[in-house]
Order: sequence, then C-alpha cells, then structure tokens
Amino acid sequence: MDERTPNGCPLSESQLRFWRGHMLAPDAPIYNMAWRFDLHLALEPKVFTQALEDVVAGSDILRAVFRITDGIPRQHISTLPFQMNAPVDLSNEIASKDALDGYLMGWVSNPFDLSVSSLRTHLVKLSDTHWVWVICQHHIACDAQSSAVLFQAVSKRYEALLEGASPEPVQLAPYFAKATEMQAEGPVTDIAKTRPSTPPYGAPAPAAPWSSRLALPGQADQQDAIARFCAAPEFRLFTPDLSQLALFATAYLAYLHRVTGDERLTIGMPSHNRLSVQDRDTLGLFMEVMPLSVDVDATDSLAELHSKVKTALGAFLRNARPGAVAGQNTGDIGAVLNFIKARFGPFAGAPATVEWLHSGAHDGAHALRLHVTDFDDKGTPSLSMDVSATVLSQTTGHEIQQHFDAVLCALINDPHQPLAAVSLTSRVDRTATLSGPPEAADTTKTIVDLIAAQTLRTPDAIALQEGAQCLSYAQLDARSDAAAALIHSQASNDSKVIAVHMPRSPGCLIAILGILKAGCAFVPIAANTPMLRVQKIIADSGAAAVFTTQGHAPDFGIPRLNVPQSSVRSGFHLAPPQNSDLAYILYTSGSTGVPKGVAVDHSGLSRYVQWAAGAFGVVEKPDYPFFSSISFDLTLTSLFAPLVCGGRVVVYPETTGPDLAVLDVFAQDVVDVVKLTPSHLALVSKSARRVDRIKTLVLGGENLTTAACRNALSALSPDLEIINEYGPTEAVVGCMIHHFDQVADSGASVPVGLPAPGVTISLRDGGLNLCPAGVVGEIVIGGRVACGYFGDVERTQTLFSTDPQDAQKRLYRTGDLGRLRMDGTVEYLGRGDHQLKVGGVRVETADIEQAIRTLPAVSAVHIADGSAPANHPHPNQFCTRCGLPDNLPGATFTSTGLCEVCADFDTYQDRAQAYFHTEPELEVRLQELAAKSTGKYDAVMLLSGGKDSTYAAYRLAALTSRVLAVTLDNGYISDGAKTNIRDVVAHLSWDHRFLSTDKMNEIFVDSLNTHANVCQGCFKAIYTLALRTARAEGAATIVTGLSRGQFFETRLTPDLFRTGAPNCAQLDQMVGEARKTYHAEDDEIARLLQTSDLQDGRVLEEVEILDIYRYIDVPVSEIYNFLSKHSSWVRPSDTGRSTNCLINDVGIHVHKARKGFHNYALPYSWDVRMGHKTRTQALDEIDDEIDTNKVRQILDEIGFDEPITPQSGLIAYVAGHGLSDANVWDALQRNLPREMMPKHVVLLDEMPLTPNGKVDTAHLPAANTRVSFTTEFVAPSTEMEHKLATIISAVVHADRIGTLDDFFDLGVDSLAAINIAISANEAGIALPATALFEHRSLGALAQFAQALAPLTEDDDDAPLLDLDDDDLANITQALR
Amino acid sequence: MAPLKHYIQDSLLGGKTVEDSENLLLTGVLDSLAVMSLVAFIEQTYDIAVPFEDVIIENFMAIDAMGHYIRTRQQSGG
Repeated sequence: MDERTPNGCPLSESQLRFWRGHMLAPDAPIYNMAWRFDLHLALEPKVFTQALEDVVAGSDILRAVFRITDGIPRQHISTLPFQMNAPVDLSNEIASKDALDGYLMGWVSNPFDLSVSSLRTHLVKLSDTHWVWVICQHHIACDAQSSAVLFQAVSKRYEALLEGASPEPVQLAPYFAKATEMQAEGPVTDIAKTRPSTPPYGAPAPAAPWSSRLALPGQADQQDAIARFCAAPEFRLFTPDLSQLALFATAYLAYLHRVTGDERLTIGMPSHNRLSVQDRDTLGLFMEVMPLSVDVDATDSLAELHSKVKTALGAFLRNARPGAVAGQNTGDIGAVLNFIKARFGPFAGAPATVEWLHSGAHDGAHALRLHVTDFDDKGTPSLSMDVSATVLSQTTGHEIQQHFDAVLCALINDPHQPLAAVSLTSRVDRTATLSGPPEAADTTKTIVDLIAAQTLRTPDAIALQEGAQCLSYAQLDARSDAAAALIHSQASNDSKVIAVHMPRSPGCLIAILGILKAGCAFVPIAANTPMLRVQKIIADSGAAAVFTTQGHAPDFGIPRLNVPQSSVRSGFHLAPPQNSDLAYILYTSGSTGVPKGVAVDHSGLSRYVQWAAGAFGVVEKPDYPFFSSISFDLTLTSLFAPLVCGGRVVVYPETTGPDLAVLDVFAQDVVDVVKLTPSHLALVSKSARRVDRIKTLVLGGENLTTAACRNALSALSPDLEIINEYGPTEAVVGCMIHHFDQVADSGASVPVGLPAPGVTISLRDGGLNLCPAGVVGEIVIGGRVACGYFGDVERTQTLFSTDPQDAQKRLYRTGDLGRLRMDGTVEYLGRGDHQLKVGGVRVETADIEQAIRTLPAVSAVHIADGSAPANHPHPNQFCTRCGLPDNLPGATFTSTGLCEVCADFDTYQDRAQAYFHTEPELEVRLQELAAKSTGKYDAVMLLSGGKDSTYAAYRLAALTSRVLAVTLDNGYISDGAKTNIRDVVAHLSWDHRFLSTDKMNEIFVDSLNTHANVCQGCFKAIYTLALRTARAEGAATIVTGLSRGQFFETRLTPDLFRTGAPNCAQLDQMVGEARKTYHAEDDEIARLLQTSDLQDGRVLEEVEILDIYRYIDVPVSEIYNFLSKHSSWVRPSDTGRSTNCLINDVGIHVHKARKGFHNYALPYSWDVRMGHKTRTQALDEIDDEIDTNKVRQILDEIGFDEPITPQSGLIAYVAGHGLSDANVWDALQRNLPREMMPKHVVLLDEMPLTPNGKVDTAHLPAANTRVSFTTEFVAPSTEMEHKLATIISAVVHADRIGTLDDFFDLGVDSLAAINIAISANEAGIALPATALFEHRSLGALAQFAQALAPLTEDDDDAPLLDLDDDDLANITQALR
Repeated sequence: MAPLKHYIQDSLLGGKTVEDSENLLLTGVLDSLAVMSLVAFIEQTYDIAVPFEDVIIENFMAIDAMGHYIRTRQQSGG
C-alpha cells in the first residue's frame, strides 16, 4: 500500500500550520473535526461498512499518517489496513441517548496520534430506521467541504452496492499531489505574535485549550431582518454569501471590541480555496485560515465599522489563494470566524441530519471562535460560539449569548448608532451596580459638630503637634474660634469662601477649622504654588480673604489674614454651618492645566471623614501625620479623621528642595496611619527602615501595584495593613476601598475593591448604558459626590448628571476605565484619555512593572508612551513683555498676555538682588582669591568668544593679569569666534589654551539623547575640564562671563523665594549645593570624562567659581560700545545668531523635533527681561530657518545615527541603584511575552515626583534608545546550557548561542521549537515545545529544564500509539 | 469577450455552459472566491485595473455585464 508514497509527500502550507499546532499540544483534541449524521432509513450495516471501506481505499488522505523525516513532517498512507468497527447496537438500551453521549465523548475528544491515524469512524444503531454515523477526522486531513464530499461518496457507493452490481473500485481525486501544489510559493512568515491582544471579559490568557460550544439562537427569528440588511444597497456586497459574511463579521468585531476593549482586532477567517469543480470534489484540507484586521475607533457607528469590514474583505479576498497563508502573519489572530457552507444532502435518498460536534477543546491561542454554519444550503445559517474555559471563568455562557445578540440585533435593526453605546444588557441589570454597605455615619452632624463633640469628650488630649509643641483639643478649639472671629471681622465681601495659602504648620489647620466654624468654605493652596496659579484660584473662587504667613505674600486684592496667636474668647458666636453649606473648594489641574474647583458640601465631607475614621486603622484613637500638600485632597483625610475620634495630627513641615517630608514620617515612626501615594511609598520602601508603630497605610492618587505592596511589606514591616483607596476629588476624597491580600491579590494591580458606605459604583459604556461584568467601561460614581465645579455650570453639567438608566440618581463620570470582576469587585484600568497602547491594544502597565520589580534593586517604575509630546509645533501666543511663546510645556499667561515667568519674576526680582554684589567687592574678592592661588595664575577664565565673556575679560584684565584663558574647542567653534579669541588674548597679553576631549562627539550624542540639545553636554564638559585645569595650575578661581539672564534661568529660580527673603549667604549656599550635585551626578559625561576626581565636591572648595556679572551690571549697549571702541571684537557672521558655535542649529532642530518647542525660547526671554535683547530681536531669532542638510551632516559626523523624531513605543523608567540595562532587559525577557516588551529602558537614581507625591511626568528624561534586546554574548556554562545549546544550534544553524540571546532573534519559530523539543526529548530532557516561548533565552530555558523530572526508561516505553480498545481489536484481527 | 466566457465555463464551472445574461451571482453559481479569481483573470487578460470598489453586483452579475464593465474601463484608460 505504501509503495505509492514510499517517502511520504510534503504537506501543504495549511497542513503545516495544523501540524505545528498539534505538536505544540499533542494531548488535547484541538483539531478534531467531528460529525454526527443521523440517518433515517433502514440501513444495512454490512453494505454500509463495505461502502465506507471502499471509499477509504480509494483515497489517499483518508488513511493519512504523518511522520517526521529529517526534521520535516511528511504524509504517508498508513500501512495498517482500514477496517470499520462493528456497529454499536443501542436499540435495546433504555437510556440509549445517554449511552450514545458516552460513546461520543470518547470518540470525539480523544486526541489523535498522527503517526498512527488521522480518522476514526463509528456506526450506532438507535433503531431499525435510525442510525447514527460518527466521523472524527483530524483537521490536518479535512475541512467541512471534504467531510461533505466523504458523506456523499459513501452515500453514492452505498446506493451502488445496494443495486447489487459489482462496481469498479472507488477512484477519488488524490490529495497528496494537490497538497504539493498548495505549498508556499513566496517567503514564509512565521506565526509569531507581534502585537498583544486582550482576552475577552478580562480573562487571563488561556492556559489550556479546553472550551465549550454555546448555541447563539438569538438571530433565528431575525432571518427577515437579516435578509433585508443584506439586500440594502449600503450593506450589500457582490454575492449573497459575502453580504452575509460582512454582516456577521461586523457584528463579531463590534462585539469583540466591546468585550476586549482592543481597537485593533485581528480575526482569522477561512478561505475555502476550492476554485474548480474538481477541487470541490476532492477530499482533504484545502481551507486556509487567514487574518482579517480592522481598526475600530471608539466613536465608530456600526455602519462605519461595516464599511471598514467591506474594505478589509476586499484585501482578504485578493490575497486568498492556495498557499497564501504562508505569507501571512497569523500569530496575531485572537479570535476566529468560521463561515462554513457545505451541502451534505440526503443519505441514499433518505433524510439525514448533520451535526458538527465540538471536541471539547480548540486552539488555545484563540479565546473565541464564532461559527456561522449552513449545512443544508437553505440560506439560513446557524450560529454558535466556542468559548475557552478561562473566559467562562469570568462570565457565563448566558451572558455571552446576550451580549452577542445585543450587538447583532443593533447592527441589523439600527446600524447607524455608535457601537460604544449599544447596550449589552437588555434590561437594567441590578447586579451591574455595586452599592456600599449601609452607612453608619450620623449624617446630621457636620465636621464642626463632630470635632466639637470630641473636644467635649477629651478636651485635654493632644489634637495637634509639631515637634515639641502641642495643642490640646480645648486649645485648638479656642484658637480656631479666634480665627473664625477674625474672618468675620475682616472679610471684604459677602462671599463665604476663604483661601488658605500657608506652609504646613499648626496654623494651617487652625485656619481651616476657623474658616469652617465661620460658616465659610476653605480653599487650600499649597505654599509652593506658582503665583499666577494662586491668583487664578483666588479670582475663580471669589475668596473674601486669604490666610497667609508673615512675609512677602503678594497682594491678591483681598485682605490678608494671619492666624491669631492667642486664643481670645470674644464671646462672639457664629451660626454653625449647615449640611448643605459648602465646606471646601479644592482646585485640581486636570489634564489641560486650567485649574478647576471642585466644591464639596459639609454633608459630603462629614460622611467621608466618619467613614475614613472607622475604616482606616485598628487603633481607637489613631494619630495621623500632616506631611502632604494641602492642595491635594488626600491630605484632608489626615487632617480630619484623627480629630473626630480623639487622635492627633502630627505636623511635618515642608522640606527644602523637593518636599520629601514623607521620609521624616517613616523615620520618626510616631503615628498610626499614613495616607500617601504609591510613589511616596516606593520612596519610603527604598530606605528600608523598619517601622514599628505605623500599622496602616492608605494608598491613593495613583494605581497601586501588588509588587509595590509586597516590596513595602518586606522593607517596612510584614504587619502592615495596606489599603487601596480609590476616588477622584469629585467623589469627596475617596469612595472605594480594598484591603491588600498577599495571597488573593495575584494580579499585577491591586483591585480598587468595593464602594464605601452610601456610595454606588457602576461601569458604563459610551451611551451611559450599564456594562456587564467583564466588559470595560467608564467608572461612574453615585451616592456621595461633590456639588460640582465652582462657578462652572457647563462643566458641572457635562460630568455630573442624573442617571438616564435610573440606577444611581445623581452620578459623576470619572473618565477612569474599569471592569467589574466576577467576585463583585472593580478593577481599575487607567485613565480613559491617557491609555497606553501597543498596536491598538491597551497595555497593562502594572504587568510590565511587575516584571521589572523582580529585581530587588528597583525602587520605582513608571511606564510612559514614547511618542512625541502633544505640543503644537507652532506657537499662537507670545508674552507681551518678553516674547516667550506658548508652546513651552506648562506655559501660562495672564489675562493681559503676560507670561507666568514675567509675572512671577516681578514678585521676587527685588529679593533676588541679594545675590548680586558691587564692583568694589569684585576687586576685594579677587585679591582674596589671588592670595590662595599657588601657581602661575590666580584665575582661569572661560572665554567663549561671545560678547559677554569678551567684555568680562576686559574688565577682569583691568584687575589682574595672572589669568589663563581657556576655551572649549568642541570641534565646531566658528572661525569668527576663534579670530575674536585670538585677538582678545593677544590684546590682553594673557596665556590661552584650547581645552578639548576626544570624547566630545560622544558627549554631543548623549546630550542630544538625554536633553535634546547640544549645549548641556558642552556646558558640563567645559566646567569639568576647567575645574581640572584650575586645580592643576593652582588657580583659586574660575571666572565666567555667565550673564544675569542665565543666573535667573538656571539658578535663581522662583522656588528659592517662595517662603521668604533669603540673604546672600543663604542663596550662595543653595547655589553651591546645586553645583555640588551637578558635578557629582553619575551620568554619561561622568563616565566619558571619568570624573571620579570631582565627585566628592572638594574641588569646589579649592576652586571658587566666580561669575563676573554678579558684580558688574552694565546695559548691553555699554558692552557693544566698549567692544567696538577698545577691541577688535566682531560679531561672528558664520553662526547665524548670537552664539559662536556651528553645532547649535543641530541642537535646536533636534529639540524642536523631539520636544516640540525651541530650546532658546526661555534663555532669550531672560535676555529680554535683563534688557540685553529687545522683544522683537528675541522673536526674530526664534523664528529661524535651519539648514537640515547641514544638520544631518553634522549628526553623521558626531555619530548620531538615529531618526531625529522620537520613536514610538513604551518607555520603562526604572529608579534604583546599582542597576544595569542588561539586568532590566533580562527581567523583562523572562517575565513578559515578547510583544509586550517596552521599546526603551531609562535608568534613574530617583523617580521625579510632583509636590503632590505623584510621578512628575514632565521631568522624566528623554530616552536613550536601545537598538536591540541582546546585550553581550555570555557563553553557556552549565551542563544543561551546553546540552541545549548544542541541540538548538543544530536546528537553527547558529554558530554560537549566548545565554542571554532571545530565541526569536535566533530564528526559533514554532517549527524549530518543535524540532528542538523532539531532540531534547530524545536526549532525555522532558522539554515541551511550548517551553521555548515561555523561557525565551538559553539561560532561562536551561533553568527551567533543570527543574524538570528527567525522562526515565519507563517514559521511553510509553506507548507511541494512541490505541483504544477498538483499534486493538482491529489490529488483533488483522494479525490473525 | 470570448476568453472571459471560456474561463468561466471551463476553469471555474468545469465545462458547464452559461448564457450571457444569466445571473451568476445571486444564484450562487459563482461564489466570492470565484469572482476574485475572475477579477485577477480580467486584469491580466484585458490589461485593466479593477479596484475593489468596482466589484459590485451591477458589474459582475452576468457575462454581458462584465463585458460592459471591461469595455468602459478600457475606454477610460483603466
């Protein structure tokens, strides 16, 4: 029998795909195609058997077996004779149906061993006129049409045999030769997953291929509507079948979008590939599953989606030809749509029914498979769906049916509605709204009442403490009464709003309480808030007065109040506030930067505080720290919760520089409950200092990852209770709560849990319909929400509304995405408007963070989108004074068109004068420094050749001649500048040196990558080299010509002046600290120039950096005047602007491309403020034309070979010490599927944080691009690594394999993986092929393999053949 | 349009003859794959480009309709 195909025949491309899938999961019946035919006739079993055997004998594919030769699978005709099993007679069974089901289970769901057989078939007698014929064939050898051909061939042969004649042997068209024709012609694309996809209903990725088949009967009574739809000109395609296919594909894609949330969907659809009549009558596999990709916009209507599907179908059909699947990447297919038409017909003239059976499993890579089947050619298809078991753990079959039907009906009956607004639940499902437990709060009492009650109970207990200073409840009561009385007497208008703009202090809390007692609402404004914003908030809120501290608070046009020091009992009683009165207005910045004031009434505040006081902490009278910004409502918990139950508020003042008082809180450990952001928690965990007293942490403000929790527990204390509190400001601080459970919380993010008492939560789609469990929707809050946005009726109406579904009354739409889980809790999925996506699929950044946090040295992780910032490249508005454009990040303008920088500068310009000295003082200082010098020179001077440093040189020369002038020759100094320098030093009779480093180009490249300019790198280089020169020459000072504008831009920043008027020594100290840090930074320049000699900062004590313009202040006209009269200085003409450097344009070009604005905009604005430029000049110079060819040329010269525009892709910012790129990439590779890997990794010492304690995304550095994942070659070292390396290199023909190399880069595709597994098994290593996708490097794979139980002798004897009893019986019979 | 008719009758329908005005699409004589293979044949044989938007019932439902479409495309330099 086998002589026809002695060496077997090659497989078609479609067969190869099935073969690979089979080999990766050989023990599951994922490709079993099973049919049940109910034949209603008086069948003659012997004739039937003969007919079947004749047909099998006449076909090659019906007896195909598959074996590997030389690593390639080939199909052979089995040498085992085919014999039909004896029919099973159930006609006398009582429970014949159950018995039959039992047999079917085994026949249909037993996996095939393809080396032995690919077909099994059975006949069952239910009665004389009712027979059941079952065929189960592996998909590698058949498709639906093939099964129909087989059915008809047997029917025809049966009829022929019945007629009595001795007919010719059956001759069916051979398949093997056809398969050879259907091989791939062009290049083969591997079935690699290149994009992530989200499993439906929030299910985890399927681990095993088990699935169930659900009927979808909903459309059975919609046949007329379907027919009308398919005939409508808008929706009609050129054949009726295709019109139907487009309809079902559209419904399916819309449904998939709703239940996965993905915007790029790829489904697999079969192309039947039987073009000729002969093809249609040939047995075997012709069908190929090919991808159909569609981008779904959240705003699409169903009709618009249908139009996209039409276009995609066009491409699909154009591509469809036998073998085409080879060139298609089918790895991205997440779901399959089977549109199957096959006509079976009667059996031997008698009616027969056809049922396509499900084997209980399907390809694990596809979560869902929708089947549209028509086996009787009546044009009315049936729908069913195979759903993987993991999906059914998240939702029920009933829900799935309901949701799909809802989408299909919406498409058929009302296609122009937006698909985001199709209600998936046909009625208001009460289970889709969560309610908190009954409220225990006394809702009649305001916070003022509650604190008063507590004061009566414990008047002498400490309420407020700062360091050693304490205030008792009674004292606090008296002090706040005094504050209230002050308000009453001073407030200027009838507005009942009072602002508090003070640093953290006991006074701050006294002011707040006083305001509440006065029946007013407080507006908290943190002390370090930029002045312009303070003005805006005060104006917007209509505040009648503002509490400030002594000192230099600017005039806001309203009375400034100071918290009274003494508690004067005035005897004046104020009417207490009502529940409906406003308690506070808190301004958040939102995403647009325009502050909006959330107004909360006393009722909301009181209910929140009462809940928080009871829910957080185990101690009866908990102490809380006051350490966070008062502008952030997270702080309100810590201020009020302790005061209603007798605890105390411990005040931690702001620390200088970034406000890191949180570190003090944990270092001192004198409180019970700390409410903080996850970023602050990461910071504190890094210190790894154990805490004893702090027992409860409440986290809010950012997503909380389980990795961060575990880290905290091990770093701080294993006894900590960690609570995740979710809630926007608009829902009064927080409204959902979840207690972190180390065991149960297994995902990457901690759930946000359940609603607080009195709060209701639901998930809504784009049309505010309720979303069922598992479907992503917008989190919507009811029950306890703010009054609205103060003074902004329009915005209030947009986001706060009455529930159209009438489930939650007045609700607030958060703009956050979430999902309701089966256990009734809510999963938070990020901001709707800030989703991070890869290939249209939302990325769970917590998963990436979790992977990176497997490295113990990591303290914080932030994942961001690397695409270009959303700045308009062209500015629309310029400051009326200095010309600053509005496309700088964070740029705001006053109503008169003044920029914030100018406005702020006006407030501290006077105080900043403390930094500057007089000319006589210059002379004195130089003499002092000269005395310290030990060498030939007293001073090293930085001479750039520009006007400022040249003028400075002349002034210096008037005071001393012992000067060494230095210029950094970065390779791009203009000739004009060099001429100027030469002439100046000659004129002054000074020695001069050009300083240079051979690392300059690398410094430029690094500066471009990190800062998107060249100046920063250059700047640091010159300071480094100059310091070394000064030290070597024994000079005691470096003199610079840095302009005043540059001082204000980089050193004398507004925050130095916020809280007071520092004197010169203090400013010097702050500047000095900053300088030390600057030179101690462990950055790329430090590495390139090897600055270990400067890191301890001592050089800055030996060498003073003296900026001459600190002592000299002359107008620019004087500078030009002097230079033209007394020197030969000429403004260089070859640089195009007021610099001396030819590489400047490169920096400007790259900066504009990568950051969206001109990097000279800010420096020029300072020139204007200093009077060194006019506004017109500044505007003129910014509006420049860059010669991009020259830029490209210079970029090539310095070795910058990346694209100028930033590359898209995710960036992982990782903070920690002692980390290397290789560590992080290795951690990512081991824990994440390849398509979810970020593109870039940036290592930081510290994660930058905003004053509120959240990640400061505006100050994250630009990414240093990684080109490939592989780092260095690490040779295999262990025995297992060597063994596996040998096997792998033989299969992929690689010379050498490093332990860190990613298999994908080595060319290990699924075919190779299978061959590698087979070879490994032969070598005694029980490696499954799938292991090569989970452990993608030699190192990781070897580690995995080492832990496996080795294949023993017994395993070698494990049966290679999958024989059931019937097979054994046959063989035995044949052998007799 | 002889080559067209031969292709349909011989390559796609296994020798079956059809009338020029016979509706081949609504009756399911040609399915979508067959039509696309026909489109490829037409593009090659008659040297015109057939964009997918033109693959509609009106242009392909019968042999004479196809002929009309081909002639129009040829005249407009398609």
